[in-house]
Amino acid sequence: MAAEKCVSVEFREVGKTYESISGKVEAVDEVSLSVQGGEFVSIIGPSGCGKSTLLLMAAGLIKASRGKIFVDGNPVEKPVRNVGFVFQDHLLLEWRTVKKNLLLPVEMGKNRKISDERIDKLIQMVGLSGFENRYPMELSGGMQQRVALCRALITDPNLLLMDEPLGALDALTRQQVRYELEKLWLERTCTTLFVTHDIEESILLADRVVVMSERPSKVMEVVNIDLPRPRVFSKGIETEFDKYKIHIRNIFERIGVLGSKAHAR
Amino acid sequence: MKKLTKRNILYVVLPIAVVVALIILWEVLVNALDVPRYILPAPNAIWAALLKYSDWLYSNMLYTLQQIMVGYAITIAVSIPLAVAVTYFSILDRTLYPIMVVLQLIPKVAIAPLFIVWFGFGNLPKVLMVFLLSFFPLVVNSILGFKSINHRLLYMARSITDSEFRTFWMIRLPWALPSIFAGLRISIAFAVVGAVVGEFVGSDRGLGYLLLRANGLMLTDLLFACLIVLSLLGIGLYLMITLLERIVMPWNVFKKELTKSGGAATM
Ligand SMILES: Nc1ncnc2c1ncn2[C@@H]1O[C@H](COP(=O)(O)OP(=O)(O)O)[C@@H](O)[C@H]1O
Ligand SMILES: [Mg+2]
Repeated sequence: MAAEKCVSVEFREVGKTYESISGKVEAVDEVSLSVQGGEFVSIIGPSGCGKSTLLLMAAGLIKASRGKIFVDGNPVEKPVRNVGFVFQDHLLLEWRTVKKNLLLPVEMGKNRKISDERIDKLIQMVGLSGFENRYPMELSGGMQQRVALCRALITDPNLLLMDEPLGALDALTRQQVRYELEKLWLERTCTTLFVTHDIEESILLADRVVVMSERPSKVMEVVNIDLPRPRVFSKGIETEFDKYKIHIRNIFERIGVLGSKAHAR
Repeated sequence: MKKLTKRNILYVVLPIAVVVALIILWEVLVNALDVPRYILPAPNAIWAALLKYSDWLYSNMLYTLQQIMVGYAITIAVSIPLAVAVTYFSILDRTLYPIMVVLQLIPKVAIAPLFIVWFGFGNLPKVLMVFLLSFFPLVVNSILGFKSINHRLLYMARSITDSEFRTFWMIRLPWALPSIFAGLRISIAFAVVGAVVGEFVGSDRGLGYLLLRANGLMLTDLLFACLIVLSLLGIGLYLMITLLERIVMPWNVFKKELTKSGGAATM
């Protein structure tokens, strides 16, 4: 594994208060979290608890109101380079073909060279061969999100940030893309922050799962996931897997996000 | 690709058939009711006028076209950079934009006589009239296009590069293009109106002038001929823009086809 190019990410007592015309929104109260190079960390929490905010702050795209974030040991003050970003909406450019979309980070970033083999390999890995010259709107939702994944990975980022990347997909497609995501990630491990609000999804690929409370959010618990890889289609880990699922669900029930106390929300 | 299905043929043939039928009806009614020529000439009389005055119509059409092209070029040269500026500088958005909206409420046609006072009878007042009428739709649509950008797309761009130029060129501009072209299509219709109004008020050339002359001389057949040439001019310009749109945004044409045929491919 290319551990030397994987950056570490550290949140040190990070908080975020949005100030808008309609008033202040205390999104993140206080988050401290240390992610090692090459680690896959899932962040799970109820909607609106500031998960997206955490990723944007880690990428240096918005400023933290309190605390400090370090990427590769350096304090984050401006947009961090060589970061791969995947959002819930695929954000493909409709005026570019699949291949040209993949090359966007290369063309915009200007400084990196990507071999044709690398592109072809990525396209092949996610089963998009033959679609290189199609426009995004010719693709199904699952294919679009696969292209978005490849685009994020094309420059071999040191840090991969994914904000509910499977959230817009239907259940079956989601399973398929999960599988491809794991394959891609295992092929070229890099530090990954993976945001989701799906318990199962949070466990599936993660080394650790960070469980967040409701807004203003704190880290409730960090759960170590000790399962062999690859996981998506492997048999025999179901019981272990379910233990983690129940554990995380219990946390949410305890803090009132799930269960009888959550009825008023 | 498009297939010449029975339905498609019907969509083309039917409107043409309706128009032809109306023209025949017009011809028959005018003859049967003996409508005076200066009130409503029959289609064949209009056709005769088109042929008879063709040289005159042509040279005046060229003059009007020239005013439209110059005025429209100014519209494009002003509107799009202005829209870009408004997108980038929120101060302009908050100051300039409301002013523009208020100015838009002034009936611009009423300003035409003032232009004669200020700028005389040359090309300038006509060109300005074209500009004034076509400016607003383009600027508004362009601003809407630039502003409708998906902000996560800009986040992505910023995490890739510091270059605002590349972000503009590769993301913001193509994003806004469909809106810009919508603006261009609306504007060109207004540009034609602007040229005619400019010529109405003070001109010795152009289709607008010819219209007034024909009116004054009670040459109603020539008046109708002018209207036809003017309409054709408008349609031609509109088609030019549509063609340009197809060349500049091949993906957009494709998208329209897709939405028509109902959805993307599934796998
Ligand atoms: N730009 C913003 N301005 C004001 N409030 C915001 C902004 N972005 C997010 N928020 C608020 O901050 C909270 C956390 O947002 P977000 O990070 O998107 O949550 P999550 O991704 O966990 O659903 C939400 O309540 C949201 O309304
Ligand atoms: Mg979110």
